[in-house]
This record gives sequence, C-alpha cells and structure tokens, in this order.
Amino acid sequence: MSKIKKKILMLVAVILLVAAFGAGCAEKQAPSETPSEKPTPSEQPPQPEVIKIGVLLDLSGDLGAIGQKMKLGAELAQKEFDSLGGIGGKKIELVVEDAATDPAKAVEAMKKLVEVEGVKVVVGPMTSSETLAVAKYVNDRNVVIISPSATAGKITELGDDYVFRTVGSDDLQAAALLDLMKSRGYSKIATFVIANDYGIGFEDYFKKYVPEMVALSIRYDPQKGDYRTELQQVKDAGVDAIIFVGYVDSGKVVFRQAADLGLDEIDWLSSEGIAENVMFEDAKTADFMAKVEMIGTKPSSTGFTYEKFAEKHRQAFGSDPDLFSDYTYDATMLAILAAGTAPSYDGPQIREALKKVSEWYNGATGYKLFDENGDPAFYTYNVWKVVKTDTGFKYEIIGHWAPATGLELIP
Amino acid sequence: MPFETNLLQILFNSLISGSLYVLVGLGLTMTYSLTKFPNFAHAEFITLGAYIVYAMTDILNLGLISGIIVSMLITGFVGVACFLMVFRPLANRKGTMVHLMISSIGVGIFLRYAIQQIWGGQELHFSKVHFAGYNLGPLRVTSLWIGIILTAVILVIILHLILTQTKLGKAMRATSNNPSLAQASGIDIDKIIMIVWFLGAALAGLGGFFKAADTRIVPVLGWGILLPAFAVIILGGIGSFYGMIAAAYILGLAENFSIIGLISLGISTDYRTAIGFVVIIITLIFAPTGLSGINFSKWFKRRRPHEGEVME
Amino acid sequence: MAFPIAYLLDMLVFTGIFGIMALSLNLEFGHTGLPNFGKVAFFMIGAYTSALITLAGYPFILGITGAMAVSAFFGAIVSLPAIRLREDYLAILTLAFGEILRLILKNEEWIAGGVLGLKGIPEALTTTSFKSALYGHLIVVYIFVVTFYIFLRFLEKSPYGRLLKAIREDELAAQSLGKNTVWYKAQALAIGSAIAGSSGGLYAQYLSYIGPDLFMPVITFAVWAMVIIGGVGNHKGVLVGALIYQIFERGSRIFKDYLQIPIDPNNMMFMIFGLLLIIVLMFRPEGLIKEEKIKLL
Repeated sequence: MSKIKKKILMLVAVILLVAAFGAGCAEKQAPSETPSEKPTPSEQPPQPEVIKIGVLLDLSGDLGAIGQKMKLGAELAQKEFDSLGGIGGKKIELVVEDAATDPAKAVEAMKKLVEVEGVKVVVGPMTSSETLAVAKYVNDRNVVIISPSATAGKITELGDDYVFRTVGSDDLQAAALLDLMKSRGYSKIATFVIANDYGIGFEDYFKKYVPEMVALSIRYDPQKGDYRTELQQVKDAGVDAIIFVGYVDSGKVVFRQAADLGLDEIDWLSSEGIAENVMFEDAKTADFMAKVEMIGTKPSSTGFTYEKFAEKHRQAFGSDPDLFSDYTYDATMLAILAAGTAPSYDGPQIREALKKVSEWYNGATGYKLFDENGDPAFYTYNVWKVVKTDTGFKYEIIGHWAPATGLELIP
Repeated sequence: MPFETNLLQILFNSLISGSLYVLVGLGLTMTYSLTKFPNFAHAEFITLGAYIVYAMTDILNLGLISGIIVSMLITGFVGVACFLMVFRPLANRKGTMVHLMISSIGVGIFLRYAIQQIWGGQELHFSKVHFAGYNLGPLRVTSLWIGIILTAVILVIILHLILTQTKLGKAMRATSNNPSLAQASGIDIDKIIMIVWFLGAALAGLGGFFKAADTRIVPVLGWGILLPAFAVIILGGIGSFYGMIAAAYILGLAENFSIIGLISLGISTDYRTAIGFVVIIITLIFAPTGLSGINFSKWFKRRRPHEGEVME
Repeated sequence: MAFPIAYLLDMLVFTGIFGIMALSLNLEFGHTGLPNFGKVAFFMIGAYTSALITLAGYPFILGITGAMAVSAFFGAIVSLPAIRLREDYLAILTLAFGEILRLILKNEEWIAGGVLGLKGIPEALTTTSFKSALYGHLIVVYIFVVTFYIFLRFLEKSPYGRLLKAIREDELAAQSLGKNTVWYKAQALAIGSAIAGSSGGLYAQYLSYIGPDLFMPVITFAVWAMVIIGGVGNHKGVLVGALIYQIFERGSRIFKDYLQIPIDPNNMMFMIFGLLLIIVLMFRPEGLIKEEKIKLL
C-alpha cells in the first residue's frame, strides 16, 4: 500500500512540476500571443524559405470522393504560383491532411498542421461540424482558416475571428431555392434531406419561412440505403415538387429507387450537393435526372474568370473541375496571396493581409470580399437544369440568383 | 393522415427489407449459435461479397450468375479462413466470449480497410446488370426486388430441407444444441462448424450482393446492415432458424410502417434507424430468448432467462 | 522546426480524457466482468450535461458534478435490465442504447442544438494565452485522472473490490455466499458511468464544441482497444493503453509524411490496428501490464 502511495505522490509531483514549468514558459511567451505585439524572432521567423499552406480536406470517409477532387483545386493554385517562381521569391508548399469526414479527426489533423508543421493559414475544413469543432482552437492559436465548403448558417455567428469561408451560407441558397420554387408556382412540396447539418439546415429554413408549403419533410440516413417507403409517402402525398438535399453517394441511391418507384411525375429540385458530373457515371441515375428535368441551385461558378480556371484545370488534370474545386482554388489563392503579402508569416498579420487581398481578388468564383463575419460579401447562385446532350448529360445553367436582384432566369 | 397511403406498396417494401434481413441474418445466427459469439466481422463478409460480384461482372466481364457463385465461394472461404486463423485458435486459448467479440471487431476493421485499399473508398455500381421496373396493378416492382424476395424464400426452403431431411442438417442441429453430446455420438463437429462458417459467410456475401445492387457498393455497406441484423437474430432467438425468419419480416414491417407513423406525428424519419435498436432493447428486457423462447400458450406468465443460457 | 511541445501536451490531455474512459471501462469490464459496449453513450451524456450546465452560466465544477450525476443515473437505468443478461446480450444492448441516444440528440434540436451541437462551451479555467490554457487543461484533466486512479486503486484493494472480482470470476459462488450480485453489478455500472461522464465533461470544455458527430460508436471501440492492449484489470495498464492509442493515432499521421508506401496511410493504419487487436488477444490476452494478483494476508 505504501509503495503505491509513494508512486502516486511521485506522479502528482511530476505533473505539478511539468505544469509549473509550463506555466513559467507560458508567462514568458504570453506577450507574443497578442496580435498587436511584434513576434519574437525565435517564435516566428519573418522570412521563411517556403510558405506553408495547410490543406485540411476530407480525403476519405463519406465525403472522401468530393474531397479528393477539391484537393486538385488547391494543387492548381499552388502550381500557378510555382510556375511564376513563387510569391515574392518564396516557394509554396501545400501541407495536406485528411480529416476523414470526422470532426474529431479534423481537430487532431488541424493540431498536427499547426503544432508540428508550423502552419499559420489553412484551407479547410470541408464540413460545418468540422469547422465548428476547430473554431475555438484556431482562434486561440491565431491561425487563419478558409473553408471552401462549410455552408451552415451557424458559422456566421462565430463573428470576427480567424474563420473565413469562400462560400455563402446555406440560408442564402435556401432563399434562392425558395424563389425558384415560388417562380414555378408550387403550393405543396416535400423536403427529402440527408440527416446531417447540411440537409437539416435546408429543412429548417423551409419549415421556418414557408411552413404552409411543406406538406411532408423526410430526413434520411445515408447508410440505410432503403428509401422506398419514404419515397412512396411522397408519391402518395400528391405534392407538386420534392426538394432533395444530399450528397452524391446517397443521392444516387435515392434517385435510383425513385426511378424504380416511378416517382417521375412530380418536379425534382435539388442543391449543390449533387450538382456534380459523377452523378452521370451511373446511367440509371442520369436517365432519371434528365427525365424529371431536375433543376436546382449551386454557388455560382460561371463567367470569364471561371472559364479561365476550368481551362487551366483541364490542362493540368485532364478533367472538368468538380463541385467546390473552384471554391477550394479561390481559398488557396487567397491563402497564398495573404501569406505572401503579409509582413511576416504570422497569424494576425496574415489575417489582416487576407482582408486586404480579398478587396481586389477576383477568382474563379468571382469577387471574394469578406464581410465582418468572414463570410463572402457578394454571392450569386446559379440555377442549373439537367439536360441530355448528344454526348451524355450535363448541368445547364438556366439562371442566376443574388440577394439584390433575386431570381433571373435565362429566357 | 392527410393523404391516402398505398399500403400494399408499403407491405411489399416491407417484404423487400425483410428478405434482405433474412439473407444477411441467416449466416449470422448460424455462426452465433455454433461458436457462441456475435461475429462483428460478418458485416465485412457482406461487403466483400458485393465487391467480388462487382469484380467478376464489371472488371472480368463474367456473367451475373457465375459472378455470384464465385463471390459466394470466395466469401465462404474467407469466412472459414477467419475462423481457422483467428476465432478457433483464440477459443482454444481459453479466449472468452468478449475476447472473441473484440477479435471479430479487429478482423472486421482489417477486412474493411483492406477492401478500401483494393477497390477505393468511392461508391461503385454494377453497370453491367439492369433491373427493369414495371407496374403490377397498384404495385410498383422491379426484377431486382422480386429477385430479392424469391431468393430469400428459395433459400429458406432449401435450408429447411437440409436441416430436416439430410444427415448434415441433423448433425448441424445436434452440434448447435449440444456439441459434446454430438461429438460423443460420432459427429465430426469440427467439420460441421467449418461447413457452417462457410455457409454463413457465403450467404452473407449473397446478401451483400443484393443489398449493393439495391443501393451502391461502399466499404461500409455491411456495417450499415449489421445492427438491424443483430436485432433480427436476437428477436428471433439466437440460433433459431424459424424465429429469425419471422423476426426479419417483423422488423421489415416495423421499419416501413414506422415511416407512416413518424410522418403523421411530425417526428424526424431519421428515427427509422432506431427501430432495430428499440427491438433489441425490448426483446432483451422482456424475452431474452426471443420469439423462439416464448411459450405462447403460457405467455402471460413472466419468463426469466433460464440458467441454460449461461455460456461455458 | 521547433519542438512541437503544444502538440505533445495536447496528446497528453487527450490521453488523460480517454484514460479516464479506459479506467471506467476497466472497473466495469476488467473488474466486474460487464462488457459495456455503450461507453460512448455515457461519455456523450457527460459532455452534453456539463456543456448545458456551464453554458447556462454555472461554474465548471457544477457542470462536471452534474455530468457525473446524470451519467450515473443513466448507468443505473441501463443496468436495471442489462445486468441480468449474459455478456454478449449486454454488449449489444448497450451498443444499441448509445446509438438511440445519439439519434435523439441529433434530431431533437430543443435539447442541445441538434445536429450542429453546442458551441462556445466555457473552459474550466480562464487564462490569458494559448500555452497557459493548455497547461491549465493538463492540470485539470490530470487532477481527475489521479483522483479516479487513487479511488479505483482504493476500491480494488477494498473488500468491495474483491467482491466485484469474485462476481467476475464466479457469479454463482458469489451468490451462494449470500451476496446480491445484481445490486453490486448495478453499482459498478453506475460508478463506471459517472467516471465516464466526467471524462465527457472534460472533453466538452476542452474542445469548447460538441456535436452528435463526435460521439460515434468508434469511440467505444477505441476505449476497448485501450483496455485490451494496456491490460485488462490493471488500472495502470489501461492508462498506458490510452497513451499507446494516442501515440499510434498521431504517430501514424506524422509517419506517413516520411514513409513512401504504395498503401494509403489511412487504410494502413486501420489494418495494422485491426491486426494489433487480434495479435494482443491471441498472444497476450492479459495485455501489456498484467493484472495484479489479490494479495492475501
């Protein structure tokens, strides 16, 4: 017994020692943590040889397929600068980590990027729950993060901090979808959404603003794979349209089963989660989407700058850019420009530089000025429609939506 | 309900769900009752079956039927290999039921990521096989859905005949009921257990193909259906062939009809996933031996788990 | 590059938080023989309870006390039907309980923010800088680790602890000595759940954000791996197990940068992990550090 007591005492003593030592260090270093102070040379070398840009995407797990393609957008931005000899003579190094579609893993990977690699600006994470999970840490650590795809409204509430995103909130896209629905004169709709932050965000929006229109709202589990009865209920309810919000993986399953059930006599609307060419790799899904003339919205990717980006993407990788790879490209460009123009490689200075850069940067997805919450100040959404062409299928842009102008359909 | 529901279709949907549970549950309940532990790696046998059919039909261009047969053979052998390499040595080393359970989780993790390494994490589809859909009166059916239901029914009949009419079936039942007595009466129980593991994994592979054809092929395919499969075999009573079949269709009905209830009550339909879990909890609390253990003639008398259930 | 001290300290904080979980499972399974496969449920209950209490403006200590009380309550509730069952049924039942609970917290927004969870959870200590906060967390977490370690060691040596082990070894014999084994098992589950709940509370205040996606069944399996690898029945062992798990998880993330292999590092890590579990069970089922024998006078 006494032996154990001794050991425990030892353990306590060691922990207290480490803590006391650490507290001492922390006291000494405390000034360098405040943004106004100049960084001490030992902590942040002002002229690094290479500029490190962290890239934290979901390269595996549920969103792995999307994340792998978004990574190409980041690589393209890096290549572009490297072909020009870097920025200010400094090379750019992307440090890529996988968050595996898991907020716990995202936190761990973010800490590795910051503490082990010494990264001060990170492109990512992808999902809203991952972004919320790392927010506290990056704010404490003064590390700038620019998410290319976290769309939950709740991220806006994080306020003036180190969290930025190049994409608009889901609430805006839901507003765009709602205008689209109204333009079509629907009186009764069903929502059919994935049971996560993305899907439920849309469902909440419609239930809040047009509760009388929502006859039926269904949340589905992407792992379940059996949606016949849910779809049958939609069919029986006699609604004008079904609003589907989900991702590519489960979207294909839902559309295939909807095709099997003959649920092609009502209108189908959707959002950016499925607006990806991989949907057409499965013939049955593609046929169904073309047959119901599925329409939907997605964050804007059109115009001259986008075409330039798409061309570069085709040259570099031999494929068209996919969902959010343009937003990842812009996030990476902004990160590189900010880190390159900041007086030193240091979080608070990169943040200030990022705000300046965002005032003039016009990227693949347009102007990227950040508002006081780190959200994009300008946003437009495209309205797309699935059409069958001679060579296959495509998402044809049939209109645009912006808060100021509302819905404008191309005649 | 503000609208008319096509109850016949929902009944038919329940049959599809139930038949899939029969396919994946058969193997699970067989190995569970014979080797006395819940095999979590069963999920990966399901997944593996789907991927091998994919490799046969989409990569090697074999026909669907031969693809399924090859897949069942390979999955069966993987099942036997897992048993011979992990579960049997562990049981011989006096591993407890919990040790076997954890080791099956270890086997499952290994297999799942090996599958992901080989075929990638992205979802795949059977592009060479197509199932037409048509109207049958008020019903909407596809050849795949009918295939799932018919396969389950035919399998149940075949297994029923094997269990009751053949020497092998009798030996299997004897081994499951009392291994030492079976051994004493001259049954080669090692061989029987091996056959059961082969059959169990092969059937899981078949179930995996149907589940994948109905949805998509992903590395977590089996994991998504494993917990409902546990619900089914617990409700049926571990090792009970007929109890499990009844339980599979009961869960199918409960899941599909719950949708109507959830929608009309305005509750999230995400709770559909919870139906299986609720079934597990209710069964284990009120009738741990499942349907097979309920004495229906005296069923108002409260049963307690009898001592015979305590494992060695 | 400077030595990543903050990363190391962060790893120690996580080791402590999950070490507490491992200690609680060790009491339930290692000492009493109850295979709780719903560990994550009690972790989640603790995290949400403590988060809700501290977000309402009450101090951390009240939050963690509440977390322990509510978790213990749920532990006792679950134990009522569960402990009469044989061990595999108990395992599956607790697994199902955890999943139901997560579904409820995800879908019922009025309880705790639904799918996006709760953010801005106050920390246990208010500090001025990142580094001092990290040391603060380290101290707070290890105060709990040491307290529970001493408590569980004390319990182990006491007649009560010996009784729990007797139940694990031979429940019938314990019963025949006139002990109400069901009552003792319920207590073990309630105490274990309270400890797991406190670990959840520590996790919530450390991350300052919780959401249903953070409480997947994989956490239960990770805690089981810590106990199995570290040493079933040995409190020191399971703490070592928790450390090994963290080193393994973070180490594989770092090593992949230096390793040129044709296998995806994420896949390889999980494959090795699966193999490791099997190998330990097969060749060293007692884990790295063996359970100490009960000393008889």
